[in-house]
Amino acid sequence: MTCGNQADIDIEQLAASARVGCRESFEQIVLHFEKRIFHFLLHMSRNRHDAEDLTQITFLKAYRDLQSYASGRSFGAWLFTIAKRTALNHLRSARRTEELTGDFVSQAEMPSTALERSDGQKNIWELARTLKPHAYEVLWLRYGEGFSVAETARVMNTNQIRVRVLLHRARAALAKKLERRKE
Amino acid sequence: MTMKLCWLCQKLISRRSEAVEPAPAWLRHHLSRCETCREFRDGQRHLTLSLTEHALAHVASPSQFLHGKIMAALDRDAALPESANNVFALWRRLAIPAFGVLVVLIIWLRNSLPQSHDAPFPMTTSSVASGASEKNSNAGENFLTWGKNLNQPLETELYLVASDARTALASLTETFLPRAYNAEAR
Repeated sequence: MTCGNQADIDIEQLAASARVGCRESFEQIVLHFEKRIFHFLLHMSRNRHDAEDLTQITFLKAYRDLQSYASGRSFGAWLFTIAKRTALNHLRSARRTEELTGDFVSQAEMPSTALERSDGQKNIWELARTLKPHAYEVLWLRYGEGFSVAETARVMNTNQIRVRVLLHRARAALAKKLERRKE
Repeated sequence: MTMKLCWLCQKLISRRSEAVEPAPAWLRHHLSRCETCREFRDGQRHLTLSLTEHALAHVASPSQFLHGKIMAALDRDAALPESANNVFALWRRLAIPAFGVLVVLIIWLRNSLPQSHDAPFPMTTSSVASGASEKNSNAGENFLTWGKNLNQPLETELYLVASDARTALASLTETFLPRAYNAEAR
């Protein structure tokens, strides 16, 4: 199936044409989001291999469930919601495995360890990674991905008030860390 | 007093950073006079700006094969026979009615099982024990509470065991011994 040149078409339009069976449109969506979804899942799983597998599963689920995507809403938020649920399911089963094996997260992959390893010239986001997972997640979705508060709330499966509170706390914690680093 | 007001203002500035509507007049008035709060507001703005600006540099890159892996997985999924997906969808649709039927079946079995269970073994412990079957006219209730009947004084228990043994022996002799011998025994 051909769907024409879609270089200038926005994501919602690409999603609409992918929904009617245009595979090229979905490939463009994958190209647009794969790095961002991978990064988000890397933070959640803390393991590159798991993050790549989860990215693959996320796109597969999105492709299968394209019919359930309501056009007019943010496709990015919808995709990140799938990614988050996929990661949570994975973490749940991984936790069970961890109970059996006692060895799950490679310490070399932990953000705090990575921070200790690197030198003083750090990006503000590397400092943000040392915050609590929820704080980092809300900051990333709001400022990294540029989602609105409503979209962030949808991805995090919570309400807008809680997102605002989380943002407020995360910014305050980050500001404190920045001050401490300056000292 | 001023310190308290500054504390309140700074809390409000931080909380209002996602708000669309303009700040209240008293806050704007305070900001125009208080340098500390102005600095705090600028610091918050700077923080959010640097978070937005540095986000792109922070994004981790996946392996170069990730895109190929995703597309290959999509191709494999598309290559799956349509009938397999249909069968799965059908199973999903049937799951709830099937569960309902199963529940009804279990309830029906629970009510009917004691009646059929009592028939071949009329002299079992549960049925004999202190006339439990007579007291409980409801067969399902009897089935659920049979364990309570076991909690009897020792004499009753011994009597019941002996009674069961006698019944078992009688049925064995009727089944396996010749009729003539049975008649003599009577």
